[in-house]
Amino acid sequence: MSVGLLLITHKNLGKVMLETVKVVTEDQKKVVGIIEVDWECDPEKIFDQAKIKIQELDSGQGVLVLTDLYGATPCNISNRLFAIPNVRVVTGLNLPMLFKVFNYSDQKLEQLVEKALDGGRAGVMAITKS
Amino acid sequence: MIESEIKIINKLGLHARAAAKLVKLASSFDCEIMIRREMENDNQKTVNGKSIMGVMMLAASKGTDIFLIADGDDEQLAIEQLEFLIKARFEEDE
Repeated sequence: MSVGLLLITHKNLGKVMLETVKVVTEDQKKVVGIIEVDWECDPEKIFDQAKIKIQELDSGQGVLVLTDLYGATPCNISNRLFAIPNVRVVTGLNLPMLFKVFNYSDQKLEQLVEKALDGGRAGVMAITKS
Repeated sequence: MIESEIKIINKLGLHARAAAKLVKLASSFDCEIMIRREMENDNQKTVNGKSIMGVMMLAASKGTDIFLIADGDDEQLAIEQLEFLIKARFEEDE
């Protein structure tokens, strides 16, 4: 049993990132929930969908929700999910964050939050001559 | 502890897929595994061999020499199998 993972992003951002990580790590088996938030979406409907997905993904270890942009609709919807017990939300989803979460997928929920934050931040740097 | 120097020989170097294979293999051992790369100006970069972000950050392209460092009960087997993977070009064609 491991922590469930749900990506809530603008359109298919999360889906494409997930596909990239799965191809690179050759891990096609990992179950990850995806919710695509379209420009014309109804946030209430998305919220209801997300609650159902969380129930499906939670095998007893909680669910980590990764969303893309603080203050935008996907994140605003995700914020409301934080009220559900054993759900944590991290925003600023990028590929390094998702790689890190995959790499440490057997960790407990609170540790996985820290891994998500570490990965997301560590992957941002300016390229210098080396 | 064992330390082994080895050259990256596959065309794309230690790119994401190669890094993922290396990390997956390294993570199967109990011993601690670190990877070091000598940088310019005598600087060094040492990363956790079981961390995919760490290994990718080495940015070790083809021709780069790296040092595999293993420390623990199964260190000998770990070094042998990691060397085999790298010499096999991470199972890539070139």
